[in-house]
Amino acid sequence: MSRRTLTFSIFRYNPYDPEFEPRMQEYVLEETPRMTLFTALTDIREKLDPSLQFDFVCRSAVCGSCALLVNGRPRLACRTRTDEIPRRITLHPLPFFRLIGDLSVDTGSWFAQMAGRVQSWVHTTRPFDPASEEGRMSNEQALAIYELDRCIECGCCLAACATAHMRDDFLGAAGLLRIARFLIDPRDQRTDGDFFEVVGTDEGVFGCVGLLACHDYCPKNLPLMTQLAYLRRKLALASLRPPLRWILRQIARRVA
Amino acid sequence: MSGRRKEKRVMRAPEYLGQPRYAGDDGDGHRPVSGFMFQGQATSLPLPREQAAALGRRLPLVTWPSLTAAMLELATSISGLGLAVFLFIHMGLLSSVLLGAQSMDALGAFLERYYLLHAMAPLLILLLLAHVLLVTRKAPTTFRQQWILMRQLRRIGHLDTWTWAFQVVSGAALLVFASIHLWTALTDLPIEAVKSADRVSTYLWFDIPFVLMVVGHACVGLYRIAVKWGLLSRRGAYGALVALMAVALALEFAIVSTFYGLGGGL
Repeated sequence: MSRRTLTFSIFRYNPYDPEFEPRMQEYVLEETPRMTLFTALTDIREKLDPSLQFDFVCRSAVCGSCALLVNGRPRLACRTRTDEIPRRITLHPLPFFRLIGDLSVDTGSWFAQMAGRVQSWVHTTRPFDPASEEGRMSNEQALAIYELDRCIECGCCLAACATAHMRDDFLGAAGLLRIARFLIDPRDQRTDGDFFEVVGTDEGVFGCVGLLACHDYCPKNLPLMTQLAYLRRKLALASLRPPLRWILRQIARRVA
Repeated sequence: MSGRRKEKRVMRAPEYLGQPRYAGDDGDGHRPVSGFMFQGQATSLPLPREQAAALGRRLPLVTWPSLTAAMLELATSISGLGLAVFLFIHMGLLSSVLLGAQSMDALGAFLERYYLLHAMAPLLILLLLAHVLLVTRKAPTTFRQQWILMRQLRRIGHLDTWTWAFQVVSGAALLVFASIHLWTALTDLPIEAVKSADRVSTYLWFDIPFVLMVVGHACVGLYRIAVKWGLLSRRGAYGALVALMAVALALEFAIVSTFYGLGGGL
């Protein structure tokens, strides 16, 4: 395989330095076999510019900290091989989140407030008994929960979602996926009505207009379209129940 | 657009420049807990249902604000579906002109005789108005939102985001086009092939964009309903969208060209 020369155009800005003008900086790098964007960025930092800021922890698409915009599209740096993309590579930090510097953004604050809003824990009144056996759930339920727990909170879905950019209070795919996870958890004693108060609004699932960019750019290939549709159907049906019950009661009263 | 210009535009995003994105930003990225539904919820845990029942507190199954949100969401999809169904019925009825002007006149006279037209027109106008009011809730109405949408469209160039932008723009244009069309058609009853042919041959520049937009808007809208409510798989929905749009456009243009031919003969 012939070695390519990659040209990186990388967004540089330090919001904490008032003298710092935002700019695009170019770096030229020799491509190595099986190079990922993460290794390329590490090479740049080691050989060309030690001041470049970017996030990484796990290098294997588990931690979700290396998400960035590659030629305008949100992707994970560790999951993107340089031979999949053109020779000229533009890197921006993820939009939507607060910029820490260069390619590094603070996704944690947003996810923390989201977890508070959707009350991301198992709500139960059962007292904890360390001596008793663990509660059981069916294998299907466990697998379904595990599927949704694969979300690594990288923030790609929010960076891709025009609705989240336009409406500051929108929960986004990550928040709605989180609530769907507790909705199928048999240990969570919250009823449909309780979930409704959290996500059954224009800030929650009814704020979604179905752009599906979250689904298309999710680096973990989570079934976001299916999950959002499931939540929408479930909550819309739950909303139909009280008025229908009221109508039936009126009819019953007339008849009786 | 050149890559460099694109980069410049992306760089101007307020979140990159360390500016607060919205009112109430504490500058630390923490979003304020706001909105009618979140007030007080972050500080006090809601009582679990059994505990609340024990305390004698009545908790509604579904609160009114969220119930309205769900109802409006359902109504948005249903009004769109209704208008799309009407469009296809309208197209089916109009395609009678392909068999000849007499068959269309006969159909028009039939609708007139049993007052089907008079019964349907007000309902249709109400449905149209309801649809406009319902969808405007989700449309980018402020300049800030439009600016953000434009930036996002150029940044990621995502197909379904573009088709949604098309829905917004074509929807706004269709409100004008459909009003004009309804006015001209309903103030010139009964419906006759000659009158329609006259209108089409004189105002072809009106009809061609109207047909393109109305078919596009209806088909993309149906696709959006299908994927939003999970009625079809993504691939299936795309296939249905392309097939439906091809058939509808072919039929509509066959009708328009027949009218144009009829009008030219007069």
